[in-house]
Amino acid sequence: MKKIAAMLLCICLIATFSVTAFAQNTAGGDSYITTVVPGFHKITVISDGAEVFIDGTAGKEFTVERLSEPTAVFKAEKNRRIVQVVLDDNDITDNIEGDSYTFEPVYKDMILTVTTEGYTEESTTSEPESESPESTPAESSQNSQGSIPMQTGETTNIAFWIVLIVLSAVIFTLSRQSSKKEKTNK
Amino acid sequence: MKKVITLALVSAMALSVSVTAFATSINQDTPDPKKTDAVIKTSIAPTYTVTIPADVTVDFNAETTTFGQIKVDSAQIEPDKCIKVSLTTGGELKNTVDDTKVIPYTVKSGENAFTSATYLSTGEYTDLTINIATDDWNKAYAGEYSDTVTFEVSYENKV
Repeated sequence: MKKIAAMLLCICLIATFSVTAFAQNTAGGDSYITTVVPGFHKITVISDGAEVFIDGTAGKEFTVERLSEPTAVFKAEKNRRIVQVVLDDNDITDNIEGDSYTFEPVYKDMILTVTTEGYTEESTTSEPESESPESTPAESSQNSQGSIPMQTGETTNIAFWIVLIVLSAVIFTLSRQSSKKEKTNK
Repeated sequence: MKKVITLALVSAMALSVSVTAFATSINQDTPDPKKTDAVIKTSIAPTYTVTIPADVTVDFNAETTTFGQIKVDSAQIEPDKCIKVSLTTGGELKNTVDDTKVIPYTVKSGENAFTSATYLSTGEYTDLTINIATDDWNKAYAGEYSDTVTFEVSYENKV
């Protein structure tokens, strides 16, 4: 028992034996930096009087791949013409070749604004009221100012001619019959 | 075996035994002037705690992003010493799929690129930012990017 007690006391003395702790001379750590770049961007079209096609598809909102170079085609509505095209804050009207514009590599969402104005093509035909056979009903209605426009799909003339043909056939038949009777009586 | 164990335990006891300090004594036989000196000594080991910036996510198209701060939370250092914090970075965020696609960036303290700083006392700090130029954002390919920056803290002599 005494030996055990002595042993335990000695062990306790060992446990309390102090040890010098040396601080680490250098330390530090890592930090991580991350980011995400989107794969697509949106092109929003604002237009009145014109249709915009991007890569062959018409619409008001387009999703295009980042850094792609899509082509926009502009088509004005009837009796309208495009006078200005603005991409974000930049006027690109002069950069339109023919009726199309190729974007530079797309790296952000953009707004394409198309401005149009009313436009009437000058006509070289005769007066709108003239009954010239060269004048089509559409041109007559377009060029007329005060004349009564002709309706499209008019059928009254056809009915007239059908009645006339039937009447002629009846009169012809009757005349043939009466001439036969006269010959028979003779 | 018992003798060996006994010897080891006795050695441990001897090492932990306190040592008596003998004071100098002055009496009538001490030559004049009757005075003596007592030297008081102590030793304080230097300690310090430095906080470095945590991980950060940079928003798309952000030219400047807050990166936290390097801060000395506690410092008990020798008068001729300082705490130095150094930054190591490759300077490019790399695409996780294709590491040839990169976005250059700079870690700055104010207007200047940060490489290292020294600190002397508790509370000193340095605000850091991550800077990416607009042109670099505009040319960046789609995808996820990342990079690791390493902060090294060392205890050095004052310059």
